[in-house]
Amino acid sequence: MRDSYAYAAEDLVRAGGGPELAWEGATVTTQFQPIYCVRRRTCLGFEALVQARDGAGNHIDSEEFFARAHAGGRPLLDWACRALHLRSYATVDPGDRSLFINVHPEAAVLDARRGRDFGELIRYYGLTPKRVCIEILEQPCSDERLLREAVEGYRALGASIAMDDFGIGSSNFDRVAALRPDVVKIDKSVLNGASGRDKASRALPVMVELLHELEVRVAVEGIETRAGAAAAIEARADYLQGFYFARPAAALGHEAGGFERLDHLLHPTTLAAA
Amino acid sequence: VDDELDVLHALEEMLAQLGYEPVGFNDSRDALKAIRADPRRFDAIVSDEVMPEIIGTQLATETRKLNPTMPIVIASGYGGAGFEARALAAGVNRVLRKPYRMAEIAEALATFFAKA
Repeated sequence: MRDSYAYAAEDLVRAGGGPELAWEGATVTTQFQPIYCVRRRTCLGFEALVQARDGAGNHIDSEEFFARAHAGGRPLLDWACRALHLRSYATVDPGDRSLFINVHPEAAVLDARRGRDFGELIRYYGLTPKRVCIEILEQPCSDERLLREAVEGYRALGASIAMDDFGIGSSNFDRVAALRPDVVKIDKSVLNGASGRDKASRALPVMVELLHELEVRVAVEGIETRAGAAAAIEARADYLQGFYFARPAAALGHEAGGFERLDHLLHPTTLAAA
Repeated sequence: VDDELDVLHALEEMLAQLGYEPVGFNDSRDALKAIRADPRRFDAIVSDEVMPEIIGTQLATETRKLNPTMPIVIASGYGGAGFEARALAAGVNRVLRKPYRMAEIAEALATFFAKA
């Protein structure tokens, strides 16, 4: 059963012009960034990202926004953002793509500890858990065993599991072994290293290969340039995400431009010959 | 007042959104200490019923001795038959069923402050 906590998280999301979350003087809305599948040349789904603005309408950097939330309030903010993203997605949902939602490890632990049912929230907004991918953030966690239990719980709902920002923080091979995610998203710092000619440039393909050995699909995020995209494809990444393909946006439809770039990367001669 | 820290944070956030200035206590003994130290410091109490040490209705009884007019709202997920009557007898102004929603807290508090 839902508790007052879960209701509080939903109640903080208001209708506004579109769904928005009021949080300590800031107004938060959802933006969706497409994730592309290299093999199928399709848009796999969208990652829900927050866009926070202060009272005067000025943009607040999202990392700074989350850093401002005191430790005790962070899990509630996490739940409120989940409600916001699900509600926002319900207004634009094309019906066949996945929604990637970030979950802080401590919030996941609290779900397991209190028996909170994320599935109920997902279904409430008309999505099936099968179309939701839960991205566990790279932050450390006070109880890795309970985190594993929480992830098992999400998986039992039918959701798929991703690990965010692999290569930094606690998003490492230990956690891959413990959580057995379906997808690992490699942090952009690894990609940035891949463009050089030194040893660091070998890290990306080696990392992808190791993750494939563990039967994990690999996404490379933070792709901002054509060279970055080419490096990710050459490293045999399964999924691509970044400004180079499409920026985060409040509405969908903006994923189309990325297909052209993806096609051109995979078949550079097509356009040249045309 | 709520012994479950995350529920307490949720309540504080709701009250802040409603324009109040909440002070959270996750130990009812600390809440009572604060009320005893300054019985006029708070304009209202919103408390859970089931807590270790001092339960919500006990907190209400003790508060009433110090401040007869302060609005007291108690939320309970259990409270079998007769809980509401027992709570009102203890000096509670309003009983809310857990899980409560922000609109219910808003409405409960608004009635007190509209009268004032």
